[in-house]
Amino acid sequence: MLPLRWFARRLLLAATVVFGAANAVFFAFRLLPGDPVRSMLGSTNPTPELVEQVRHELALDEPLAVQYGRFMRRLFTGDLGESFQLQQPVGEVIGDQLWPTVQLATAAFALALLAAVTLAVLTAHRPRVRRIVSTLELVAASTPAFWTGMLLLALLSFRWKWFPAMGGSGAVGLVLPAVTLAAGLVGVFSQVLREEMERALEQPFVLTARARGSGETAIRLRHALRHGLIPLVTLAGWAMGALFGGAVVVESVFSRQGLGQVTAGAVAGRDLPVVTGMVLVSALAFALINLAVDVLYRIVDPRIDERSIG
Amino acid sequence: MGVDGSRAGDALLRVEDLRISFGHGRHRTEVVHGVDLTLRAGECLAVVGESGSGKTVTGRTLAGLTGPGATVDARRLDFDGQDMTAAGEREWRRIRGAEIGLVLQDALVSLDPLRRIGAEIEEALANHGVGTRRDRPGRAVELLREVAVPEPEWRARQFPHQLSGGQRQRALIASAIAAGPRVLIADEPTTALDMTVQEQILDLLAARRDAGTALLLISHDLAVVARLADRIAVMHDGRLVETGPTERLLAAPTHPYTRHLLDAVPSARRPRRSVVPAAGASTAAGNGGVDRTDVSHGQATGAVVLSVEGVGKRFPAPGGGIDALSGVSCTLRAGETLGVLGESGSGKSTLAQVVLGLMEPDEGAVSLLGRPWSGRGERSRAGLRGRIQLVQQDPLSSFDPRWTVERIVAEALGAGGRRAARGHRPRITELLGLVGLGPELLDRGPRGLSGGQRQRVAIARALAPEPDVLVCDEPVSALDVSVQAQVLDVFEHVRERLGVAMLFISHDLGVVRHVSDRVAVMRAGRIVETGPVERVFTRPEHPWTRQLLDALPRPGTSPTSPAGRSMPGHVS
Amino acid sequence: MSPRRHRTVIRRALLSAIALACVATGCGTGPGGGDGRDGRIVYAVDTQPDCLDPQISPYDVTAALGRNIFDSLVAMDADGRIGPWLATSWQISRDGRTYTFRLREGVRFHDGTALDAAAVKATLDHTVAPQTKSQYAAGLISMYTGATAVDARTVRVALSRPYAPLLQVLSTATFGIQSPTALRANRGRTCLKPVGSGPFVFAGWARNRRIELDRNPNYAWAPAGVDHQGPAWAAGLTVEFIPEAASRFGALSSGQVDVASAVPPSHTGRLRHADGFRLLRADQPGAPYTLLLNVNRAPLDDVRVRRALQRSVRLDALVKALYSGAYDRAWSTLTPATTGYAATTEGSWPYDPDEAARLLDEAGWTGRDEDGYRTKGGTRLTLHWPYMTSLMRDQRALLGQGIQAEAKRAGIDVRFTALEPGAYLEKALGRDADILAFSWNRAEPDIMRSYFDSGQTGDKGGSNAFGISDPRLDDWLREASATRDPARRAVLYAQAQSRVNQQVLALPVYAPATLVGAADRVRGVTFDVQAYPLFHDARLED
Repeated sequence: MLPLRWFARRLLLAATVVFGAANAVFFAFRLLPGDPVRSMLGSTNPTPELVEQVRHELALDEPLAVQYGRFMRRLFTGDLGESFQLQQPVGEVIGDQLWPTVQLATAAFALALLAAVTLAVLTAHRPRVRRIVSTLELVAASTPAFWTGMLLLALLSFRWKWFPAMGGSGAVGLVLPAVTLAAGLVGVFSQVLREEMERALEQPFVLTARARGSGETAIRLRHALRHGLIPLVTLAGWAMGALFGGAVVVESVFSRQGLGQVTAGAVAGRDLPVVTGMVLVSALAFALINLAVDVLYRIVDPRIDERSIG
Repeated sequence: MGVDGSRAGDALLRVEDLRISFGHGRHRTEVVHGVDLTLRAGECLAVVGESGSGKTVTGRTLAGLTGPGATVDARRLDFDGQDMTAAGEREWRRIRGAEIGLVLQDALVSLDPLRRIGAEIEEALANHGVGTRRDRPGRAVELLREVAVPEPEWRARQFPHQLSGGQRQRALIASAIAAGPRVLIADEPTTALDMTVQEQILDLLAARRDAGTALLLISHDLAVVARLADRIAVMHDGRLVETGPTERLLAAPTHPYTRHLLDAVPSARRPRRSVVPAAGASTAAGNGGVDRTDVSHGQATGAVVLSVEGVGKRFPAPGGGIDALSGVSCTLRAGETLGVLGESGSGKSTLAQVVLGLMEPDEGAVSLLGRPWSGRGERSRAGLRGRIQLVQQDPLSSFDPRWTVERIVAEALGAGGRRAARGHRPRITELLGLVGLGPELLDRGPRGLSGGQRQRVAIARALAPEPDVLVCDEPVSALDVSVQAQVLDVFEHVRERLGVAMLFISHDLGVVRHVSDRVAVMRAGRIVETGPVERVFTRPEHPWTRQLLDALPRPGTSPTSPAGRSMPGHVS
Repeated sequence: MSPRRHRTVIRRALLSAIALACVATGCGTGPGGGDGRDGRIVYAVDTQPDCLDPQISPYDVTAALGRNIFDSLVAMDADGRIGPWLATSWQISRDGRTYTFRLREGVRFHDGTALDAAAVKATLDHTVAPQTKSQYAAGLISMYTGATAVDARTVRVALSRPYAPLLQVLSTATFGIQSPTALRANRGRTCLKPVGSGPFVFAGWARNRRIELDRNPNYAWAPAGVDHQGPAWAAGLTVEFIPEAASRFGALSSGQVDVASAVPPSHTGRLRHADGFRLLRADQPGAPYTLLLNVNRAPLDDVRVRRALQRSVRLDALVKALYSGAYDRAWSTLTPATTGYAATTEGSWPYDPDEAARLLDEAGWTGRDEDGYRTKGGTRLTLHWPYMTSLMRDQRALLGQGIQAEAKRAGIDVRFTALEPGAYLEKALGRDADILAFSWNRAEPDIMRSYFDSGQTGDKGGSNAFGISDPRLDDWLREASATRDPARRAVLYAQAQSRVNQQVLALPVYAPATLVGAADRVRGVTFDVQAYPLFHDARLED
């Protein structure tokens, strides 16, 4: 199975990434212009006493080294602090909103993958159809999620009332947001998939497969597709990032719960603890996803040798 | 066997006036102009020709796989009496695999690298409804056993890259014969395989032929063809120039092209003589037939330019390590050519890398021109770097595809440490002239050159820094036979003019015999025999050398069953 | 002869992913917005409150929602008169530093606790307690020194100095009385568990989704001016958060919500003419959207330049173009809906580009550079106006650009730049700008003191962004904050508004209004004096 040493090394790498992100967010906040406490309290004219009180509570009046030490110590115990704006522990804030975003991201990813596979299989090496579909994919990838979302909402929710405009429970409420998010991904996925599939279709083993009497669809699905999915595995890392970023917009348009809203609100309100928590969660997610991609690579492509990536 | 060499058996495939063209309208090109073929059960017909002759496309067309954009016309194209000229895709699909099988070269790319061997074989079974889902895996294993793949149950679950070259090719054959086709079209089935393995594959194919399959063998390698074919058809420029029984054709060819082909093959069975260039090809400065017998008897007297002493190299691998080289020693004198003969895995490529200083040996030392070469940093070697140069097998990948010929050669001049600042072009033109190319090629890119021209440019580039030693790693293996001959002549010419010493690595016995003064035979990381080329080839001492020479296909012999020749265990 | 099904890892993973997604989301629930009707009103708002404790949060939305959950000691009517609510009567000492309230009987909080003097004291103490970290309310009662429960129904509030606006302050939702039991039990978590005595009970908060409020069946103490005294008609109020204006409006028009707040001004026409919907409008009291000018720094330290700026912008046209008549042009630093608004300010200065040019010439800005801007001694007449994008509702960014364009025609270079919060606050607090603009919703003319009193600078918690120090204004505004004589106050504030305009210490632009869209099936939505929607009288008609 998987060589243990390789896996352990990857895990260590992931941990290093998260650590690096924690450092980055710690220093970034303190390098930004303006007083963080006043930013957190907004433009609502807080009394000077309140400002000092908050500063003291957040230990922002301590020397930098002390702050750093405290930050790191709390991090290792998993304590992300408390959100100032929301008066809730950051872990709770993020934990509550994690599932809807994961739901949305997964649904969008699955949808995009399915659509991309279908399109690529049908249009690889078929020049006429390919041209039309390629253009549509380009349009889909270039259209901002906001616009697509509003358009879908206006048509399918406000006019025809097939879907709810806000939240919505279960699968029905997930459809429009997932489609909106997936639209941005489909274009990229199917282009890559199709390129690789076309390359695979030109290989000798396809000729051999044809010589065995396999039909066109069978060849595309059984042989070419698997080759095409390899670069997609690489893209998966990027896709996750795009999904989380896109989720912010989509959640806003469709009034969905999720980490996108939390992040946007925390950044706008300079809620330092929540932003820190979000950066760390994202870093962790990225590191884990990349780890999964590495593992998946080895499963999908049996040619990858331990030696070559040791 | 009948007088004309044809075997008894039904005519399974009949082709009359086959014409194949590509493109439409104004861009339509005809590549095959009226070919007639007949293939009978239990018989092997070989279609021979060089690249561009149309043999491959003919072979594919007989399986209905000519490719997109092709127009196929024939007065007659029958399979077993059934007219296939107007057959649709569905018809062909029914026949492919079940009636007509196709075996391609290089199973590493002819089998899906992402699928297990067993799955590939089962696909053929499934397509034609052979067996049920449950017993197909079993049948696949049986087929692997039939083609003599050891430990078939285990191998069936492996991926192509985990098998050796020979095993892969057998597996490929297994998948082609799985559904029991009566016709087998084999397109260069043994290219890219070692000599000994080649022998086994040919035995396998012969066995199929004997069992009643009609075998269409497409190849450029006359030696292979000679061993297996009952009849030979020679193709040139899309036309069939000569057909006839093997023995007759090889002994007394009638068509000039056939004669030219036969002559161009450097044979391991005849002592070296220089090659007559084909009419119309650009001539290397001919030295027609200089007798080098005295040199080939090993009496080179020049100074030692390259010395390899006790070199060993070990690669780490799970389960110990692999000794790519162990205790390798040899010397190269000025002006002589040392041929290194070995199959894949013998360590010859590693030796090339160590000699060039691209890899450090774990033991032993290499010295160049009397000075230490291995064990030094690259910086301290920089001055000597230009004195030893490399010519590789595939120049296309060693050239930057965007560069022109002039620039490619000029780069070597700059790197050699002997820069003629402004006067590069005269020198480059001179170098190109040395390898028989004219100045009109200076501005061409590598893709605009033929294989032979590319290889010559590679030689010119290698000669630019005026090296004392030229390391050639399979330099002609990827070339057609007649082009090969020309390039070998270029090497010859270069050596005459410049007195450059060459380390010539190849797996092809004929080529090695043709160019070398002395030869070192390598096997499993060791040199098993060294000596003057004539002596080694006529009176081999080491059993392995003997085995290699025995494995050469002989025209006119009928192959005995493979069981009679038991090969040592790990070779396959 | 069908090809055998080949289960690749990929395909299996794909199917599992879909199955997982389906199961997790509970496929099959039907469409339709909030929960089923049965008398619940669905109300869509644009912002989510950060915290539901009105004494902590400074945001309007908290107060707006809190108005339905909490009752206040006293109530203010549309004319600015204070009437009884939880307090049936009160007395103010002659020196104005002691207020004694008599509380109503029979009032119970949502958790069953009875309202008594101790409860009132608890809320007031909670406001000023340091651990509460009140971001707004504490500043409003900075003169509060303590309260005493004289008996169960009498509470005495002590101040360090007289403060006329105190009753108005106590009438707001910001000072809604919370259950003392809840305050004690939820210490540190009051944001998430508001317990009041109002017509609606807090029933749940799905963050970023909705807040549920249920009817309080025991409610019997509504203030005067409300249609009925008893419990609310609606079974409950579901507040949905839909930040995107187009989504919110679409949800209203497609029937998925009953009431929608913050209707974009451009959509008001559509609502007015649509069948089945109507536009509800309430003018906001307090300070209109006003440009404050930095009178302590060149070039705006010269009153002629300020006056020139004032006269070179066609505010009427701008406001009408941007807001299609939904908002009115403002003439004073108090909106018309505020007590003490001086109508005499209306039309008190014309759009007069010639006058503006003359003033600028007189001020020495006679040169012109190649872009057409005025210069003096080689320096261009530049005004820096930073803003924060997050605060730019009502298309204020466009408005700013319009003013910028108008100023350009007079040769004034207005640099209207977006800054992120940290940088913006740095500039604002450091007074490193020429113009800052904002509005303030408060039903009390005392807001002017916050803007113009020399002691109310930003670092002290006030809104006097540029440290305006006008002794006459100081006197008037301070006296107005101390005296309780309405007539005297009116005079003082009128003088103040006049002076501000005359000295061009600020440039008022438009008076915001609350624009709420409602489906016709919803009746009885009213507004309190701060233009927050009230749902006590609201009901659904089928």
